[in-house]
Amino acid sequence: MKKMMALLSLFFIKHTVAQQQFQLAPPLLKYASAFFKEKMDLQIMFNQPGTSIRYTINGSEPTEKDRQYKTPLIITENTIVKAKVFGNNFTPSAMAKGTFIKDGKAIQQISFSAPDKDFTSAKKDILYDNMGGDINFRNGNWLGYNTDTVEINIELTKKQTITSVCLNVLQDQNSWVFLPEQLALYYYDTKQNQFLPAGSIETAMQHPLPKQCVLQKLVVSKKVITNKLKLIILPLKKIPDWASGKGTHAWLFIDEIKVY
Amino acid sequence: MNRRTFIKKSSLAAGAIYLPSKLMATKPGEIILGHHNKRYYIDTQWSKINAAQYPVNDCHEMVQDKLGRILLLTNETKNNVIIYDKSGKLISSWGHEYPGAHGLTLFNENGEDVLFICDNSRHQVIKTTIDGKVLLTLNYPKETGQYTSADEYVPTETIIASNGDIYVADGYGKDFVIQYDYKGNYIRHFGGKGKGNEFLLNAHGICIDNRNNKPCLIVTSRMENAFKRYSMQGEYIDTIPLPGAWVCRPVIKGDYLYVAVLQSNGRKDEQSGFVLILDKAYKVVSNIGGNLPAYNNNMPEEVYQTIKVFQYPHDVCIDDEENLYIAQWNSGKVYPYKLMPV
Repeated sequence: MKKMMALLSLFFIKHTVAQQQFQLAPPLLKYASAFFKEKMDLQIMFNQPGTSIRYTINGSEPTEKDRQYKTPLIITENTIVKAKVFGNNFTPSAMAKGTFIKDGKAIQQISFSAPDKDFTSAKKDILYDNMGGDINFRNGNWLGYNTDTVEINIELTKKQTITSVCLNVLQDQNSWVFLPEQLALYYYDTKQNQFLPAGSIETAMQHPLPKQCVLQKLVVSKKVITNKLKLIILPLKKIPDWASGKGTHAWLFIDEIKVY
Repeated sequence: MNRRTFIKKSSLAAGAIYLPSKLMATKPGEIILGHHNKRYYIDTQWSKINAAQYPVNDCHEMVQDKLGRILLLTNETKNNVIIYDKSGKLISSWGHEYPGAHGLTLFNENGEDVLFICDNSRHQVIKTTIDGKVLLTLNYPKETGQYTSADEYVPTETIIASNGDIYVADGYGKDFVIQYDYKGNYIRHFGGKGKGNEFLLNAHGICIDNRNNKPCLIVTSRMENAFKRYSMQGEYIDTIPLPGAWVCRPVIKGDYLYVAVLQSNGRKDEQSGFVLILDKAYKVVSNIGGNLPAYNNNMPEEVYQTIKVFQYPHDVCIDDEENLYIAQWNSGKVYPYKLMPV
């Protein structure tokens, strides 16, 4: 026994290394598309014994007391899922976040300014096909621009009341992809025979932000009944000094539009 | 029952387990990484050298020489090659002329260790003695008819066959593998970019697999998340898919293939690397810092990082005692980590 203890302690000494606490990696949200017609399945992947995935759908950051993920979630309405992994002796993971968007009003067609030749699509319904929401801008779902202005014309199947328009935009600052400086929405007024302003948002690029899809929501500021909408997007003209590619024209990537 | 058998009996396939504190009075919570019979302790402080005196930039690749020393190749021109003993102490260093030092391969040539360095910036492969004397320089392979200037050729890795033939993988250039004889005379080329199984996308690494009856080449197709096998004459055999894994160079030791995975597809540019170990049938048996993929009809499911042990691992060196050394690219100039088998 003594001999064994001696051997054991030798073994310990041989392998004495600085003790270190590692952080868990964020869980992976797996889905075919972040956009859906009626419902969708969301799988959260993280195969590591001794850990558990906790998630929320109320916008709060998950804690160890939140619901544990066990089987794929079935999503039937606009939902933000936030998930984190916890495990004894590990630092909890960073948060994984996904925004899942249900189809809006029926769209007849959407026309758009010509994208860059490397980031265009032959699909006429590319902006309302319920496909996308993946951060890989080369996956064929994204339209890419590095121009000063992008114009998008939306035609609905019928005239109706519009409350908001959502545009899914990529933020991938290391790849020079930024949110636009300004989004402005116009609606076609049949009485005045012209497009009139319906709302706008501006984004200031103040500091680095993580790579993610951002759903930009334009709330219509007045009562609007129409079947034609126009979106004027002004991509960021100059990448800020704190970012890679500073001073050059930023890229804009969009992959889906919803009208509510 | 000693600790080794205790651990074997108490944990079957845990990705990372903690030892019971009773056994581990001196170091509670020491982590064990990996799966099955390929599980390891980690020492992130293995390197004992002074960063002010012997700095590193990217730590690209490592090999062990016949004297048992561990050689590290870095693109820091103050000391492109750092030679360690297995305990992490500096033995010596050399090299100031390899600004794009990337690939390091050791070959025992008639009893003498020689090195092959791929330099991304110089667009050259340089053969040296173990202490840095240049023996041969291979320039861009005009003979292939595929290149019009040196800039198009950015070699990342070499492997040397038992007859001395040199295979160069142009992993950051045109993704061809170029085969030369031992003197550097062009023999043939294969691979390259294209649509079809026999082509490569980011041919970042290459090795020779002697484990089965007939030797073959294993070439990395990193952006495709796969290895591809070719005959020694460059005929395509098959593809070994590893979904999600940006595999760097394959390294074979004993019955196993080891590979540093720079990052995963699911979390690109987010320091999501890990290290895979595959058996003779190219099946993942251990993932250091990640998940063990399930197999459906011989096709592995996605592999990804679960524990942030590594940032961007770039190479694995396995020493004569089965310890692993992991060199990392773009990871805050971190020195290599050592992993010791459980």
